Amino acid sequence: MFYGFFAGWAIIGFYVVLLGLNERKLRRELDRVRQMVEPRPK
Amino acid sequence: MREKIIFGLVAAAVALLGWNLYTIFMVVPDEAAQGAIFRIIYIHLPTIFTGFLGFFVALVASCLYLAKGDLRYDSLAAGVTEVSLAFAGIVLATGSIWARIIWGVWWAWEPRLTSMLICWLTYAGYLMLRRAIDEPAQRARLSAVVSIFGFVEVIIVYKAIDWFRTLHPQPVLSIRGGGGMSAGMEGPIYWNWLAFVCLASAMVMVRMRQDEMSREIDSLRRMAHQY
Repeated sequence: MFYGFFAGWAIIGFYVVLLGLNERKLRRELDRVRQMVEPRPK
Repeated sequence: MREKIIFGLVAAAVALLGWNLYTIFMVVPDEAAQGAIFRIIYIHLPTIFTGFLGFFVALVASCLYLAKGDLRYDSLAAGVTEVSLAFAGIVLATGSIWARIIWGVWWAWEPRLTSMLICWLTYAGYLMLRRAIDEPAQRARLSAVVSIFGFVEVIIVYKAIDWFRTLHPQPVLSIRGGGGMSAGMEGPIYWNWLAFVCLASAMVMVRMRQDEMSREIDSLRRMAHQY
């Protein structure tokens, strides 16, 4: 029974970690691309 | 505002799950025939309800995309499918663990289990298809078609225990005419379902936000190439 609960929460935990890593990667890429298109100071 | 909603949903899910865990382990008695392992139903059933609800939402969003062409519906369908796939994976895992104890085997090629595996593989294929197509409109159109046809599998899984001779237990919930559980034992299933729906909704909102960020990155890249 505890293996069942553990498996369920492990899968959810694994997916949440994946979401977090993806978010971090996207934010970094977004910041990088925003800096590329920002007008350069004269 | 979105952050507050996500936080609120997660807090509600945690509170409900915490209270339910107490009820499941401290209040609900062991089932007469199965003993303690029966408690796995309190994660097995709510996760399948959540998963199937998600696949239904994906079906509706896919139909709306095909009708209106708005990519936000495609984003919703993709996010919901991904989250529902995780919950459907939990169903297969918890079902296998229960089967190992009760049937003595991890898996049986019987209608309910086999159709559920095919359903999971179909929606995993949906996600793989999306990764293979770069062009957003084409990706959305083909994904929508897969999502619509994939839902047929959900119906087959749901009706498998009625249509085929199966090892899987027959319905026990009163809403499916089972009547095999007392009210005190059935209640936590629905509360857990509500908690998982809150959690899944929060995950879908995070996923959709990530999709928006992806689209913004693509648009900024196109702008950068024009300079």
